[in-house]
Amino acid sequence: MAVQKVLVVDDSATDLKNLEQICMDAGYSVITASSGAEAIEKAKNERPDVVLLDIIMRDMNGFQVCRAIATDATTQHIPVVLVSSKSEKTDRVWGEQQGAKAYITKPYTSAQIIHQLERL
Amino acid sequence: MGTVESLRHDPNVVPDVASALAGGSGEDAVAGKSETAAPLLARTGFCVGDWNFLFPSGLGREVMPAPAVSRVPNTAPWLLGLANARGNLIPIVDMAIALGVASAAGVSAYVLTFGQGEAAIGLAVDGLPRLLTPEASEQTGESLPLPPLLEGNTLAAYHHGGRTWLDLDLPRFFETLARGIAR
Repeated sequence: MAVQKVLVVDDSATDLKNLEQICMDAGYSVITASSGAEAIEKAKNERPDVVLLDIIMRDMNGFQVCRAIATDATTQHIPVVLVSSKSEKTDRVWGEQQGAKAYITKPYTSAQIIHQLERL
Repeated sequence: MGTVESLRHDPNVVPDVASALAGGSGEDAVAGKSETAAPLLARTGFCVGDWNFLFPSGLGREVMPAPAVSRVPNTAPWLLGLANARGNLIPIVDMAIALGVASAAGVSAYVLTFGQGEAAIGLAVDGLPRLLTPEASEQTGESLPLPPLLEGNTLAAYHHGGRTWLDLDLPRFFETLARGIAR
């Protein structure tokens, strides 16, 4: 699947901007969301090719957003990549159980992000 | 604890979970999403000693290694205490103590959390939870002798994968815990 449009989700403005810039520099079309609810809405309405999703967010966390996207008929085809500083084995297992396709641990490099997008 | 009501009315809870809470078992909600109405239930399962439990997948917030806890005086023995879970203080319930059983030997303890913010709660369980899809046909009418904390707080029992799994009515179970927390 050739990824063209990426939805980046993070409630940290700094991290959001950084990830957005990495994707834009690589030539992807980028939309952003700063909360779980906004991410779900944009996944439904904007139909991105992939979601790069932070886990630790104030209201819905990334796991819950991932599950919501993975279980909604209109968005379940969209792969979700979790991007987080949480690096416990449990996070990867739980993320996979919620429907995540991949997991990138912060701090990441631009190359890691691009490599992951190219693999989808 | 406030967990029950917050889960029932939480707009962030995914639709199938909200329907499950509103309707009780959640089976209708799950079946209703299926084009073929296949009698598969989307559940997450966890174990405590010899007991095995299910709850609607999507209700769980996250799972983490057992965190350090601070005891709270004058509370039930099964309340291990409060833990700092990513900046939020959440009560941690030791399910083995609550059920009056020994934790499984040789299995790491994990905490499964539900709800969020001040309404969050964590259950200490044996091993990692896992996704399960029991079929409606695996439901058993068998009446199991239950520990007091579980009486009236289960929806059904399923024979699945060689084990008997109790489908927890989480809102009612949390209500029971809330009523018994103070000593």
